[in-house]
Amino acid sequence: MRRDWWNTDQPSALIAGRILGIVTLLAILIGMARATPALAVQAKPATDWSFYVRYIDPNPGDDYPQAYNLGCNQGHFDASYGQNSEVVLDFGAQDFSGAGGSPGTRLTVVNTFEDYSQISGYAERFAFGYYYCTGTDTTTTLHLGIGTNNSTYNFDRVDYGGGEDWATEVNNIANDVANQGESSQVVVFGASDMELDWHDAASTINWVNGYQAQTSNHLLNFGDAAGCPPSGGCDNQWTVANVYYVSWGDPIAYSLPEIYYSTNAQQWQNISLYGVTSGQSAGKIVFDGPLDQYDLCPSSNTSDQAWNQLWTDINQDSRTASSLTYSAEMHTSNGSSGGC
Amino acid sequence: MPNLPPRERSHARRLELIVILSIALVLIIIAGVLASRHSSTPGSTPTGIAALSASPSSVSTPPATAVAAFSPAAAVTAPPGYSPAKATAYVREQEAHLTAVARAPHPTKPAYVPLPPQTPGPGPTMPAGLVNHPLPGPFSSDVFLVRNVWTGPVGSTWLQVYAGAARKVPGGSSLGAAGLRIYSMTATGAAMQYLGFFPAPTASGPLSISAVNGTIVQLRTDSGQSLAFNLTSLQYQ
Repeated sequence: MRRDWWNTDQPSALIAGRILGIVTLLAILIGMARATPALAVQAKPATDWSFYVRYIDPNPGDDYPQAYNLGCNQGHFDASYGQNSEVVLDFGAQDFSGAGGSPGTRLTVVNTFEDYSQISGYAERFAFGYYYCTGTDTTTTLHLGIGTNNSTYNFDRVDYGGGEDWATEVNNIANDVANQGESSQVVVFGASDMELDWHDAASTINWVNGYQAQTSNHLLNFGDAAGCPPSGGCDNQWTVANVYYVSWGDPIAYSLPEIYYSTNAQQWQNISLYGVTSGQSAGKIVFDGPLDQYDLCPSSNTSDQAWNQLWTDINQDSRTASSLTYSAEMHTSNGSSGGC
Repeated sequence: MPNLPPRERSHARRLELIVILSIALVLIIIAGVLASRHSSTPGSTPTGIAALSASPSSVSTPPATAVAAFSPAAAVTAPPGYSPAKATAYVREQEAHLTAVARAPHPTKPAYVPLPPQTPGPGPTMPAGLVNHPLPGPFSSDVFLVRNVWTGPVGSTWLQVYAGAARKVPGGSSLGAAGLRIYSMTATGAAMQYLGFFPAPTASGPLSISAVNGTIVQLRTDSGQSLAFNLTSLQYQ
């Protein structure tokens, strides 16, 4: 006797129940797969070296050979591999300790003073080294951040006027680079290592606003989010909203966050998520990439770890998902380290 | 189903309907998952601010938009993922840059010639004394919260003393042991060496340096407790 598939001795309700059970199981499995997608981490590009500038040769007649060589190394590398780079030169905290109270910075750790002309000379020589050493290549581009931070040495420059001042310095360097014919391969912008424990949020935000008032060159925050959720509450009475503002919420702000430890990636994903959930017009943060300090502190993240942690954390939530462009690592301009 | 009795035929039709609906449900879920993955997985398109140019990960591909940077007539578009507000700011900056590039001279570059490595001079002497601010140190704020810093000569070497408290977990908000992080170096900051973290024996809350008398560092805690540290023996007194 031929038995059609529906012609069975079993009750129809039982068969229907089994089919529904299978479908439900399938739906659950598919749902689980959706909740924990097997994300393939985006390939990390070559890591660009950024520098804490620790020494600027006091004799401009020497043409800042250290800066030239560092820029030349990057230019030669980029031309060889056909890739672009993002580099920050960190000149330390703004200060007013030059002759007659002229402005400049205190280089990090050594705290020696350099005036703006020295900073310009060093940065422009780095740019020239890059441009010159890309040789016949005319397409690779260096994105060069002129960096300070929000700490204070003698004079507190973390205010609106300090931001205006830094913007003017960045504008001058950008104009000189353009006048030297290098701007087709060197893009100059401002940068600041904004750290929550170095200054309060209100002053730092004023500084950012002052910077924005004086330039169209964007501002890269390569600072931290110390203590911020999910690790607790942000240090020094900063809020997630404050960190978001100076890192992305302000129209000229961009972000190259310190991803020194795994906690950092979670903190920055959370800050980006704030932009979405609070309805900020700038939305999620599209990070330039992670910054690591492995060369200075071998117990912290390598560039691969920093990249993987930031990419994984932001892409585990579709609301903060994005790709990264650069991998950056801090070094010292004179090769010194010191442990951490 | 011509041979089935009406009751069985009704059951069979119900079964058939359930099967069809089930298959449709599975197909819809699969389609939804595929669409969701496609939208949430970042593409290979570069998105960084600085990107006038292509992704550095595609090292063998000439950066397409970098070529556009040479042409002031090229339309600037923001990278994917930017909100309209952010895209507007991005485009404004890039257009200003392209205009500057177009106006700038374009000298012919000489061929690449590497220069021999240069040895920088020794640099100036570091300023000595107490700075009552949380200055950047040769370590991350993620591991140690700085209250203030003293720099100065001790014997034939220079020391840099950071007062504060260690964090229980790097990057976390909870503080652990209060103490000093001490580095030695030359007067110009060269040959820096980490001498260690010296946890205070009895302090609660971060340490601050109140004064340095000779080789003795006077310390206080947030709660007003006083301590002293000997920079020669590297021990609390």
